[in-house]
Amino acid sequence: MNTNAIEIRGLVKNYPNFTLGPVDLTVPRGAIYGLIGPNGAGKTTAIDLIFSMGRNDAGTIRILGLDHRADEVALKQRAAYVSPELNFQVWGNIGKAIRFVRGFYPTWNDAYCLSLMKAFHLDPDEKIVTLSFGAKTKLSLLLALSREPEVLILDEPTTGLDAISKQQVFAELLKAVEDGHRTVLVSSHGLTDIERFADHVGMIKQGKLLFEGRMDEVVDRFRLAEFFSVNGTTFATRPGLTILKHTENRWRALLDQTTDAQSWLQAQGARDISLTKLTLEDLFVALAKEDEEI
Amino acid sequence: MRQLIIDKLKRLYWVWIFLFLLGLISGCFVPLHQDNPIEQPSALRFIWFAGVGGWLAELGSGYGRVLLTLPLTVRQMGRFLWFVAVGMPAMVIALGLGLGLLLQSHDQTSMVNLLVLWLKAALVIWLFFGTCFWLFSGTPSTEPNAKTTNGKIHLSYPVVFVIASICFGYWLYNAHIGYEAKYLILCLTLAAFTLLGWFRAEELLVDYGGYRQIASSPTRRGTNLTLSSKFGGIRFLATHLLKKQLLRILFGFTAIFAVMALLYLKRGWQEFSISCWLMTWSFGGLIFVFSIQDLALLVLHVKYLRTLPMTARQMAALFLLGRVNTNA
Repeated sequence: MNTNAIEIRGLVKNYPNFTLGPVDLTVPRGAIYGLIGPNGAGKTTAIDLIFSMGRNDAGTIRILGLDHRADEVALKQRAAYVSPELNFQVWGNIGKAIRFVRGFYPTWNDAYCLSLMKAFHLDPDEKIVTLSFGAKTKLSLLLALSREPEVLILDEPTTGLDAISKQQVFAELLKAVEDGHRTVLVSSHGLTDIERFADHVGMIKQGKLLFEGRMDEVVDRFRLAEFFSVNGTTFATRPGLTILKHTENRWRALLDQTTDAQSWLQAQGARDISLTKLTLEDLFVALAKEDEEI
Repeated sequence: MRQLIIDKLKRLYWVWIFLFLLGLISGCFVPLHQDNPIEQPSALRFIWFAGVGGWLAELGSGYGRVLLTLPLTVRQMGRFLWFVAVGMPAMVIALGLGLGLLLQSHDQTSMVNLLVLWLKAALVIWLFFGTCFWLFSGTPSTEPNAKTTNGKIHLSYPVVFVIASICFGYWLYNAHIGYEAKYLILCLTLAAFTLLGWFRAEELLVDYGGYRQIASSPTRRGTNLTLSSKFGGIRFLATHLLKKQLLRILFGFTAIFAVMALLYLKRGWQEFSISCWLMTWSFGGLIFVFSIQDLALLVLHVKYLRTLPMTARQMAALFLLGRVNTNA
């Protein structure tokens, strides 16, 4: 049996001013994978392509071993998609939207749906047009969770949610994945939430996947390095070393511990190298700002 | 797909009732004694314009995204899209039309003639709807967020245009061809465009389904950060609107007058039948719908527009007239 729930290989999508990929992304079964990246990095584009919202120019996408084009129906039976951009307004009220979606899924769980409605404070007679942005996202999540999918793909699920709602949503998500059989791929800008909630993480920037892996391994892999140069030696960004800032002879850089960057620095004459552990947010900011003027 | 169709039937029941009644009324007043009795019911094709803007807006608003997450193939959903936009309205109108014809026929017309007349009218309406669907679906990959490219579809366009041009040219330069021949040519031309619409449906759904707000779309990422030194603000918005609408109106009327001039040169004014005038009006309607589509897009962003330093009256003037009296 394939141990990966989501396998994306060589995924490419070209736009006039942007190219996604080639992207290789792997989400193991039962994992909660956080996909992070700056605005316009290609996170939503990559997720959209899984559900045929657009056509990829190259590459393959497999969910639970199913090809996203050849096994489209089976894939959509077993994977659910949540996004604030889904609009159920045409059905008028919440009850009607539920009735419509329920008809497509034999695995639909009415009791679970009712408990989620209660938890999210959603009323079946409530008009969708009058719902707040956050409530619409909750409805989208309710419709996805009630069908008990094996893979849950969430695109910015916490956008527009207040702190309490965010807590409710994450509590329900954690409950949904606690048996370990369900896989979650979540793209979000809420890095604290991702760090707390996800066990795997991947970062996309300018259409390319910069890194992916277990959360603890990824966070442990990078360090913030501070060091001094002597005799006017200068350092430039190289594989494993990203120069973030320098003032006179004092330097600050992002260091990948899996490379020989540290020994290279020492060989180049860097003095007093101190390494500090990073949070996911620090890492994100450092990598996202990498190309900006320092 | 059955569930999608039932949903559409139930959700928009009033639209289907309206279409049925239109067909029924039209059927009751078809001039059975005339040579070309289908001309009048065929005029019903123009009502399609009224609904299509809303249908496509619904698709782009996020409904299309919901459809794409359902466990159906894109092809199935493309066919559903085409069926509810073309097949279903044509069928409902045809049902009403048939009933209307039966009601007014008494025993002056034979049932066979009535059946032939009904089939002909239903076919024309269906093909016109198919053509309208294609017209509104746009050419592939011209939408701002188009996500599809399909070589076969690109290739089919010149082929269909050649067929349509030959048919139309033949009709235009043969004044004395009979009513039956005209009907056949019309059907052939419309069938070519209907076929294009059918091919386009699947891609259209993917384009609209994948549509995201322009600000959040990577395709809109500006790479050239130069700003125009020309005037901005309300004057820009007003002239921008006016320019686009004027261009469309200019294009539409040039096309109408070109067709009318060709007809006049060939046959003189006496040949201008009701259908010619209907055609002219339909072009006008089409241009109108295109224009208000632009306005509808602006209305979608009215929340932001209301933060601009202008009064509600000025904004209304901007929407309706394309210009603002800043002294108001």
